[in-house]
Amino acid sequence: MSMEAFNRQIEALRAEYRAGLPDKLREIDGLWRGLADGALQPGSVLDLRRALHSLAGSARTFGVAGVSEAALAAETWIEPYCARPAVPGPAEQAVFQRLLDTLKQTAA
Amino acid sequence: MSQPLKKILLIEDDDDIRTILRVALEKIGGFTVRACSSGAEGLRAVGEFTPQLVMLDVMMPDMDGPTVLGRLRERPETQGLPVIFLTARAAPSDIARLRGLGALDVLTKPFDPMTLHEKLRKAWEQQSAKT
Repeated sequence: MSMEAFNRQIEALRAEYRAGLPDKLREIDGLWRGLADGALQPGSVLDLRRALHSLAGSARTFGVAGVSEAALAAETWIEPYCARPAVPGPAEQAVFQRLLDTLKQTAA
Repeated sequence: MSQPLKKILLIEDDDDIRTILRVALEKIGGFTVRACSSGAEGLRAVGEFTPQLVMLDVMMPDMDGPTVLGRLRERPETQGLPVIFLTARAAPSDIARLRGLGALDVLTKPFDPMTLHEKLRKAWEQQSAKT
């Protein structure tokens, strides 16, 4: 495969990744809402962290560094709740919601 | 002198990362790659695929990378199989911890698909020079 063809393939993968970002954000948002309103068990905070970790790890590789940084900030914030595991209290939820809002704005 | 690096087992749960890694390793690196989406699948594949090197994600839901490495080290046939960890955590303490587990190298995400194969070959050659 020529370098040009390889670059085209990588660019196509990056475009596909960016097109799939809204679904990833919906998944994260759904997990967070479920945790915040009590519909999900506290253990789901691990799924939330994993989804943020995955996004933080992949987004920069696919050329969306800002999304990676915003996801990392949210992952770092939620990480202490994974050891127990526990759902952040109401006051803390506002802080995390702001981090998620930033993530969504960055991805938009 | 050992054989040139050719066969790589990739264990990575993230579909997007697994895809771009596979493309980069096969198309640019010219490697033969077997890609697995979980530690359990990777452990099953290692016997039949007989890789020369394993690229192993650290954080995976069913079985994390360090656990997979531990299982590989328990088996006589894979005891010395070189493993390179893939991690999104680039803190020096994280990298030192992973190296301490016996990894050949630790690659941090993000990675550049264009130059990844060079890093692998370099790590492979360094390993070969030691043995």
